[in-house]
Amino acid sequence: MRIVEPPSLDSPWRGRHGDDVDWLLSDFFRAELPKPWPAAPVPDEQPRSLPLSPRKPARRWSASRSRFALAASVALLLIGGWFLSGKFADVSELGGSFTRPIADTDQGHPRKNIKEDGIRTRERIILDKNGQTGFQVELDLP
Amino acid sequence: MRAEFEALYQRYSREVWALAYARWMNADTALDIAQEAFLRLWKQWEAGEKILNPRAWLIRVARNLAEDHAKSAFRRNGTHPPQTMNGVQAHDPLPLERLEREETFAQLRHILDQMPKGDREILTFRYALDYDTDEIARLLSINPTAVHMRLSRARQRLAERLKAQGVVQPP
Repeated sequence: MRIVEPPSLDSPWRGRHGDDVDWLLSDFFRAELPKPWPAAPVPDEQPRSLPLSPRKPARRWSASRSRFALAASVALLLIGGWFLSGKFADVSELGGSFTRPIADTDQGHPRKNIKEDGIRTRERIILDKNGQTGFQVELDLP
Repeated sequence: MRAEFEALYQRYSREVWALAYARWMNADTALDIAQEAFLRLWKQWEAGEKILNPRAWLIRVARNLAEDHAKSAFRRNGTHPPQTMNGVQAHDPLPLERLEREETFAQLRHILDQMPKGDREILTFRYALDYDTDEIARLLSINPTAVHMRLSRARQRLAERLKAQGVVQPP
């Protein structure tokens, strides 16, 4: 007669010594590791459409465009400044040459040092035949 | 790029999983976190970002994701995360031996859950991945002596608790 023993109620670790904590821990943690290990989570839309290398030339092109725009802006600013300074020089020549800025004569009253020198100035706005306005300064030297 | 990414995944994904597992004591949650960390790495590469040390980067991201998961799980459920169910997943009757094993694992999980997170990390690397002290120290950027001390202390505490519950007997 074959005797079939009932399954033991003891756990595989029951009755083992303290060192078997290692065995229990290994068994536990390994059982927790997912099996089979899943594949890498790479999206289906591969970098076929978004490769890394083609992006870099785009960035370089973008950078060179912005540099060009900056250089053009600076050049325009310089040309504009030069052009405007030329215009102001023309105005000063309308009424002949004068050696003192307009601000020196405040509301038609010459500054004190001019009086001391005995130099008198007269400024007026003139309108020529062509309808252009100008600024005339007359100096009375002593 | 894909081949390089897959090589990194083969090399480090278990480590990332182990870190997240040590935080949550839940294999599925840990796997989700590990996959998300690698997905973020892939996106960084796609965006042209240069990552000098992918291993350190992955570990940092996995830690952050695990902490974020703690907040979001609490917000969503307003209760404890699923690992408090002691990993009991099936309702069908199990063979006696398997049932007993599950019961022992549930006890062990409960004990591990009460241990400091740092100790759980060391135990997971040691027993799930078979890492030695030096490797764990390198990975966690701590002193090998500290790893050794924490490992033996954690084992001692576990042994005492398991003995008290009759899972293992004293020598």
